[in-house]
Amino acid sequence: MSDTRGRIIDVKTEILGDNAREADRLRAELAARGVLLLGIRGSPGSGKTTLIEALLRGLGPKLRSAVIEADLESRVDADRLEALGFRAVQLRTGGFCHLDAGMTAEGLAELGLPGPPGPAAYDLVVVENVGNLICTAQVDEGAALDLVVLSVPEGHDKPLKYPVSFVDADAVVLSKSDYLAMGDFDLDAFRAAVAALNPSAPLFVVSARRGEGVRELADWIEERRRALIGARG
Amino acid sequence: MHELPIIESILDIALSATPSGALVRRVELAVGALCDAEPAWLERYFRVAARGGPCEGARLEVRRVPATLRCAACGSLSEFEFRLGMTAAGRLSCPACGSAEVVVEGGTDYRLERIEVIEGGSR
Repeated sequence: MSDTRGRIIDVKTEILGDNAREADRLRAELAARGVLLLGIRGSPGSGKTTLIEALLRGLGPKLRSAVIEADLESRVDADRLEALGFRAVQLRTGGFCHLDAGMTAEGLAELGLPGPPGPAAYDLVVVENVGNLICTAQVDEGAALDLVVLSVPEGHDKPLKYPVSFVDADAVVLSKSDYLAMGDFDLDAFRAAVAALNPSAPLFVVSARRGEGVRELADWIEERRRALIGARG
Repeated sequence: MHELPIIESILDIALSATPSGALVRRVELAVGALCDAEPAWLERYFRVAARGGPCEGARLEVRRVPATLRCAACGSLSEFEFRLGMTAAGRLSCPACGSAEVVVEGGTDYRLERIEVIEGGSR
């Protein structure tokens, strides 16, 4: 070890910059083909897949939709969606706890996207991230619109414990609202925490099982799709 | 394991900034307080991943960038810790005036700031 001070080189580079550029490229290519990529993240068991089922039913034939499912292992979720008649592909991350833009691109390729210039076979692709409330928010998977789902049984304090997931979301979904009747979830405290972390994100209170709040969320997605991509056809 | 791809990215960026033949002595990161990156794990992975290259033996310094809270009521900008900024009900409030009209502004940074290199010698 010498005592001489080395030369300092300023780098000032975002560590996840390469992935961010790949994600931007995906967004631009999909937008040019009229496809909205909707990202959904949340804890394991927060009801992401059930919400996707309800949303696709709610959107109906208005939008041609497909789903990319990501899990460490198995194709349980993709099988479940295909059994309901939806087009679904399953990504296995093999231990990785989040999707990155490169993995999303693989799932899109299975759907034939982005494909040649011009209109694509789908209007909406939903990408369900690995069940994880931590790094799924830090690594851009390429979605043009990101939803974070938190279920009532997880507790109203979670935005303050996992802030990054909420800071970056385009909308927050409180799922399993039928459990609010149990009484120990403080909805006002939850609203205040979400508003502090992300004042511009709308909050949707949804019970996919009962169908409550699904229409409002589906309408918002259609409206955002029109704003980001333009009208279909 | 979200630290590992991050470490690979840090090494790539550091190596592309390192002049040919130089050795890296120090790598300085700025990590926002809201990022879930544990400095001890970053350092441990870095030590292993850097083996056999110019960053071998380099010190990884993690500078924590505080999260900040802007208050709409009194206008103040305060650094805060999530746990300290909360009341018992799990609400965020302004440390200066107590208002709940607060918005999180900073703390999600993730940047390689600078490296220190030794040229034509040993570290």
